[in-house]
Amino acid sequence: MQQTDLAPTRTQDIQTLEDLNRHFIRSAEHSDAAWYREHLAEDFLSSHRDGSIVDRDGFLQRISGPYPGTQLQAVDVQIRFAGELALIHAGFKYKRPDGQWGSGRYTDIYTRRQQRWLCVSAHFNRF
Amino acid sequence: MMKQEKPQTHAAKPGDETQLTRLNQEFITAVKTSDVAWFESKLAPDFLNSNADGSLSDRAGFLKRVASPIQVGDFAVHDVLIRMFGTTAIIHGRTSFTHPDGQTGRGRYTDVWARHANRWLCIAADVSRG
Repeated sequence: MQQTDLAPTRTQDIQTLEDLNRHFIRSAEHSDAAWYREHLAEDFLSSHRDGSIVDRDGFLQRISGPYPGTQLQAVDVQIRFAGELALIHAGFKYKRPDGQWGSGRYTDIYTRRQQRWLCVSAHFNRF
Repeated sequence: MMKQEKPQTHAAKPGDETQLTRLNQEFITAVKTSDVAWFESKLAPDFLNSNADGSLSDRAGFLKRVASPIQVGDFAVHDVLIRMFGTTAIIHGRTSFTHPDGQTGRGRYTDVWARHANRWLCIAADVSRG
């Protein structure tokens, strides 16, 4: 894992964001809408490969459905800070129902509001 | 359920949104015309691009990619949304295009810009093409 813009005070933030990223992935595979309700900002937007963009409510509705695979895991995670934002760049892989491995990439963007990191944007490409 | 905080989209400097609107349009034009010089002047040194094929490019890798002619035709951008977060901004956009076989395609991008010394530089882009 790589991080840029590393200041000593960022250590806790990085740990927090690593945890958030792990739970984001876990919650996607297990359709854990409750976790997302707690960690998505009100103005969250999610961009998808089909050209759609959905708001928080639309994402919660999508995520409530079953994930099309198992063993979802993030790979090559990079966390960067830029002003008020934290960017998480990562690839991912998952096992499809036919047993083949699928892959993809995402960029999640968090901002800190009232001492909490909340996700304001996600962009996915799944293959 | 935890109570959600109100969005705190901080006020931008006057003219920021106008600048970013222009930069976004220039970004699209530069993609269409393989204008590497424009990207060299507008991408931050630590720029990262999440490509439509699922790979990740750094600044040098992206410049190499963008130097090649764009593989789709009629490339156009719609529904651009600019969100300000202090000295950073997120731009969301929808794209439409024509594949070489004539089929229409659609996609999305999410760009992140940061202001350094009164200059906006692009620090990340994530591109999807369906």
